[in-house]
Amino acid sequence: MVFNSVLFLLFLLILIPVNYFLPKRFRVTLLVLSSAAFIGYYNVESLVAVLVFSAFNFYIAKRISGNRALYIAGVLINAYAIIMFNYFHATRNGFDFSYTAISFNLQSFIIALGLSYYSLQNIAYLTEVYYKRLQPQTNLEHYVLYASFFPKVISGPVLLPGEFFPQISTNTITKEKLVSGFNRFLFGLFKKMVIADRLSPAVHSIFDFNDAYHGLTTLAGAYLFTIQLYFDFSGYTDMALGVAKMLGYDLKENFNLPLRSTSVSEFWRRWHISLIGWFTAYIYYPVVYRLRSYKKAAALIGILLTFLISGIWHGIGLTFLTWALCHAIYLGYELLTKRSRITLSEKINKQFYKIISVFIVFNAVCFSNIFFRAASFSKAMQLIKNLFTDFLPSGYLKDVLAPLAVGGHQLDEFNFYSTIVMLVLFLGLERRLNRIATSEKINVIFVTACVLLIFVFGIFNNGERFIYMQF
Amino acid sequence: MNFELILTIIKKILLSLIILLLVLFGLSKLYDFALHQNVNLKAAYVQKEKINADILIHGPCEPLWMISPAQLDKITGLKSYNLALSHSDFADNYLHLYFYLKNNKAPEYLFLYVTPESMDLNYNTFNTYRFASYLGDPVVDSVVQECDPAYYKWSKIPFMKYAYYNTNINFDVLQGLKHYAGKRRIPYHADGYEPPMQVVWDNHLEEFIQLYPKGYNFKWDALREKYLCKTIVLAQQHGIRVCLYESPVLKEALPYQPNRKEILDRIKALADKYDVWYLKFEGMKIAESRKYYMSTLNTNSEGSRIFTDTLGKRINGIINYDEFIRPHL
Repeated sequence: MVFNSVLFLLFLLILIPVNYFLPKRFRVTLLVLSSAAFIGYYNVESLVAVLVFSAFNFYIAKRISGNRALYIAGVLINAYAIIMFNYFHATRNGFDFSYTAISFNLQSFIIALGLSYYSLQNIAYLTEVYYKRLQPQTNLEHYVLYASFFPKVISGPVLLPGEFFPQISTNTITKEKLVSGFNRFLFGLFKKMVIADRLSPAVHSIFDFNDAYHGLTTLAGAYLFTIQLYFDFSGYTDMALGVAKMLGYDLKENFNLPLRSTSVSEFWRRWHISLIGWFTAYIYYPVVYRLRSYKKAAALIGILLTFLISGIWHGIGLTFLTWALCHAIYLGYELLTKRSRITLSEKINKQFYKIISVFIVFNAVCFSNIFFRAASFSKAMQLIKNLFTDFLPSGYLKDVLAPLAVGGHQLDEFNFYSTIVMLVLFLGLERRLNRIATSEKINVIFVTACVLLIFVFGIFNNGERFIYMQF
Repeated sequence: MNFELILTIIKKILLSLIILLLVLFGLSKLYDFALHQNVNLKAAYVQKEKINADILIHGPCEPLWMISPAQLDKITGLKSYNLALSHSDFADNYLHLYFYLKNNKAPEYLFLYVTPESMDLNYNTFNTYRFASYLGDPVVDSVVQECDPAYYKWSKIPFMKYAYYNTNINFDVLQGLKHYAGKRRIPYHADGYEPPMQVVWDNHLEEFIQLYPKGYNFKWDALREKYLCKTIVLAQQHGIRVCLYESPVLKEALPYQPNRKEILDRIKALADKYDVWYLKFEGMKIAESRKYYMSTLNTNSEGSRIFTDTLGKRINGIINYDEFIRPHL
């Protein structure tokens, strides 16, 4: 039951009014049962996993205070679970350890839905309780809801315990929340179905075939993948936040116009905010604190370690490690050149400096994403080689874009260019659209336009799964 | 929250829904209209203009790219039209023949392309989007329901019949509106034939061998058989002489198709059952060289010219047989 399916819409259509009219004391039970149904619909193993790990963390947290060995054991078991479930894929012949990068083969879909997300939450919970910054939960049902709450179980946002538990007791649903949640959900659906899924064939054509394209074509493919990933993941997040809001919960924002970042460090404050927030709180800060006497070197080691673990969290393959290394290098460079960059920015026109910075950061992110998306390290290297050979075609600009309009017929070109037009319009209006999507008032033009665009341009048949579902 | 407020919200939701449904209904009508004006769509063109051909060529992309009616007409002296459509299966072919016969006099001959690939679900498909604007016609409805039940289920929601496959439809709608505005009556490919690209070997054979190093056994699909039979029966009900045919297959591909002959025999048996011809071109010289082919089954422009010439001569033979020999049998 993915968010962009009719079955999920029907599920919501029943759940939201029932949750709304139900006395407050029964709502947690209803949401736990709904989450169980949602996860169990994927497969029973996922449901069993979330229940077992919730119970495990709930009970050891009660005994963890002052018990360092138990705390370390608890953290290691959760971390081990991430490795076990993310990298052992179910195959016809049993389990197979996968070193590959993102596999878009739906047959090898991870068996434990959302485990790598709720395991991070479990580690955060154990840490908070161990350091006595949080009292252990006394209600198992509340803890199960924290781990399994269905709007965020698939791909986050990763919630810290302090961000979720207080909401259980203060949970209220107002008309404003319903409207705002609906707007947000619709906006996410639009991003996913109208932009992300329509870009998918072009990205697929560049990344998954062995044709040697011009450098500019490969670059366009790399740009489009970053944009596809943004629309896919931020679309998912909008839908998750919207659904949670309609059920009375506020989840953490995950994106804040990241493609307009003027530095990579700013990018990471705007992209996948909840995950990087977790890594910052539980890896970067502790490492830097321990090595604080080494000053800048401590920060560099912290960055490197944080991104290496982040790379491993995404996947064990060399591609993800290289992706992580790219970002560690970018951030290290920014840390070491901060003063000279500030001096430079004061010497030249601010607007010009900003435009150039956004351009450089976007290209740096797109470059690293070649490793993130490529099916193997050798494929990533081949794409990078393409980037630097025969950059411009001898013919027309049309030849550059032709491989992106997969199929090559007028119809395919129309589909590709209409998506690009919508994409450019969207990015131009993004700030305003975000404001409307988070508004607590119904904007008839916004709702009608979203629904119509979804109907006219959305991908209905064989829509793609969300990219981040596989992590 | 009080009862009045809930009532207001429900009213607003209902009002929004009604407005949305009306808009979608209007849009659906606009799409219906535009698609029926698009003369480049064979389904629309054959129902709008009188073609009245003597010979109909039908099937998927192979006949579409390989048989030029203009060349055929010179050889046979009859008027022919290429009704074939790329990636189409027999259900697709059946509905297009049905559309053709609704507005045109029945042709003398129907040449329908049938190969082992045509009987296998891994090759070609039923292209539902081609029939979206004709839903409501009981014949179309029954075929769509059988061949694409998931789509048919949702097609009852206003505009969903277009939304479901919109990437295949939106462009045709715009083109249809352009044709209407420009009062266009002749399609881009006037006789239905789409000439193949000059020189492109598409590497399908290499990919095929990589996928199936020991060869691939064709599978016989019952639904394909059903619609092949329905197409033959529909033609025969209109007094059309049906000829099934197979174009020459590139010889070097044959070792990778171990049960090709077995499936061909089944097709022949089916042809005999309905008393129709099954023409094969196994001995043709062009099958021995890649220089006449784009892929295992698709010839390039030179290969197509040679094949059409050969087919034309065979058609003349059939016509002579029907005119001079058959009446005396």
